[in-house]
Amino acid sequence: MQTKKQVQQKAIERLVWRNISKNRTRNLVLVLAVMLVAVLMTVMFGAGISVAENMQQADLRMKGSTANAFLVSATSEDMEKIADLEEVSEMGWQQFVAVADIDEEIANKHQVVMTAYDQTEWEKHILPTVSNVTGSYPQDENEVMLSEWTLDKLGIDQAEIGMTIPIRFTTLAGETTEQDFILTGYYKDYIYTPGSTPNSGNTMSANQFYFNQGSSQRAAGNIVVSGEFAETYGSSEGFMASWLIDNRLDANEALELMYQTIGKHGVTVIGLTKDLARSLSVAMLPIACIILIMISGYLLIYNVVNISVLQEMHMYGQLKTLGATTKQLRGIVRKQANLVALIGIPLGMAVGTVFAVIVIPGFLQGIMEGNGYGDALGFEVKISPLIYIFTAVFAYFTVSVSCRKPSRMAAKVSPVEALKFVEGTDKVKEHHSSGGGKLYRMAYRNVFRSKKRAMVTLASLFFGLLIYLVVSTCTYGVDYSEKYRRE
Amino acid sequence: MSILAARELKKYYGQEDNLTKALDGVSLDIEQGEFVAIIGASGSGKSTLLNMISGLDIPTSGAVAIDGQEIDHLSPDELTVFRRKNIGFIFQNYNLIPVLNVLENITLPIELDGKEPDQQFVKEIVELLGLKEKMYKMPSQLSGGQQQRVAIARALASKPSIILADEPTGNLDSETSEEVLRLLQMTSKKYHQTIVMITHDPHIAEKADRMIRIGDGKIIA
Repeated sequence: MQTKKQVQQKAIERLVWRNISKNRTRNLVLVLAVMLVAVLMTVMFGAGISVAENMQQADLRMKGSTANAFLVSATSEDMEKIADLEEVSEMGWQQFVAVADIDEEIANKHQVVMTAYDQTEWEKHILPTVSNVTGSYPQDENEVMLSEWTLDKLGIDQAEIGMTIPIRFTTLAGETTEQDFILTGYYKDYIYTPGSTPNSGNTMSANQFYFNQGSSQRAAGNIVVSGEFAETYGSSEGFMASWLIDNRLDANEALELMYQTIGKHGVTVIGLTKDLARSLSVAMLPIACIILIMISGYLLIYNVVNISVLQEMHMYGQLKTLGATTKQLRGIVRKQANLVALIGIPLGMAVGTVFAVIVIPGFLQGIMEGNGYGDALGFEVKISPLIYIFTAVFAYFTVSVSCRKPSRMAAKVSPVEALKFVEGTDKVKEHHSSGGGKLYRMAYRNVFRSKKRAMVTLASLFFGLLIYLVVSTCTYGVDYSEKYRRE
Repeated sequence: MSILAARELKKYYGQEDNLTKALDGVSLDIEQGEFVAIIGASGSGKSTLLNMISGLDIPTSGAVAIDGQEIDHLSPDELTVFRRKNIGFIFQNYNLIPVLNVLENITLPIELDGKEPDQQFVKEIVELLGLKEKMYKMPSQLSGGQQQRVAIARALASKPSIILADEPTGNLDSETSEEVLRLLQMTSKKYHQTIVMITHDPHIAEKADRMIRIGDGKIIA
């Protein structure tokens, strides 16, 4: 025994299925329209998320450390007290041990420093800011890890784990020694950008040291040394504790808290002021595009659904006569649209993913040219599930809204009218012509026969064109060489 | 109590100078089991009258009651539900749903109402109307006469208070027309089913038990 609702649903669904099978072409067009919307959204959301994530990563690399609070020459007592606070986590240290004598080509202001890290500092604070890490952290006094920049300055093309590298260095106390070191690993850092003063968290202990000495020298390159090396050659002025403080505190509150805890000033905090403005402004473009896509998608899908409902008005009239209520008739239109969405959206997402992978890196480059990040900014496409969730939601929403009006029109059909229905026109202008009626004239008149429909169609085309222009401009970017030539 | 009672039905279109009086005060009573023909020339108001008494449209003034229930002030959705429970339709152009087969067409109004069709009864009328071989065919595969028989079966299947037939033989040749009229007579008798038929043809109207003449929006005889 089926319930009343079930019997009704079955009858409605049967009508929906049969109707769909009958109108293959029209439904194909609908599926394509929905796919188009989904493809565009996938690419746009993909671009937006890729930009956001790439920028975040670039920001982190430029910063050089995930920690946001530092104290030079911290004592172990200081560190314990601070670490005990519940607002504090990830207490670690780095130590500026010595300066390496690498190359006279490096300007006076830029040094290659030798820095040691404890495990927390290296793994939690430094690792996320570097890339392409090969090998392992130095353990013995004569082991080192070098950045690619430093290897380059040393003239080493093919780094190999276990190779011997002689380095001459000077400790903070002023003693110079030359020693052979064994390479235990190498990585890529983002300390040095030509044209700007190096200020990376990777070598903050060194920079703080120079700053406190009143020197304008800064660390442009880094050699990672072991704790044992630091013990042998290091001194306390090069030692710096670094930790993570809850970023819900603002800078003043944090500093106050530190003073309360250890009784002295000298703590530096960075990054506790929020700066959403920049990320938001870059997200503006994809957001604007999404809205454009939704509008054009709406117009396109609405148009197709509307026309198909008009064509089927006779059937809706029949159904109304035989006893289909407004709700049931609306259900028929909506269920057909749902089915189309069910097929079109996933297909569109799949195709969109292919496009995204091809198109997005170019797109990213286009809008990020000359941004000051140097090579810290990657152009990787980040395929996050968020892209698909957003696309599914927004695309389905677009489809849903597009059928509202047509489904209401079908539902409110007057049975008497519909049983004699021929597609209604708003107003038909009388037209007399001699000579039997030219075909192109008739065609032209036909386009504008229904003013409203003509407007909707034109608007769809316009928006479609607009999107194409916007996207292709962004993808190919502004030609900077052309721009400079003109200026 | 009459199964169908109409009182002073009026249907006016337009205003003032352009006032069209499609119905101008029509009253009638039809008893259960009657096979009544409403006959009138083109423009007499017979189709308008049909729309009023079947709940397809609402009168400007006047009252219609079917099986004791007044329908002149129901909302469109209420009328729709009333129709599918109480009224069967047979049209000149059959109006079968093209994407459903014969059996599905017959049971559609019942299913829209959420009820399970009385399988025994459906089988009986299908056989009675000679449609047994055609149950799973689509309307496009049937002749005019066969389609009309499906329409009759559909009208009968929900056991409505009244069946309204609008020029049921209008699209059929004389031989098929005779057959359809014979079937209407037969089913009316067998199931004590009230049938109201609209026509312009006196020859067809004669087949009914009673004739009501309409002209210029009023009952004549």
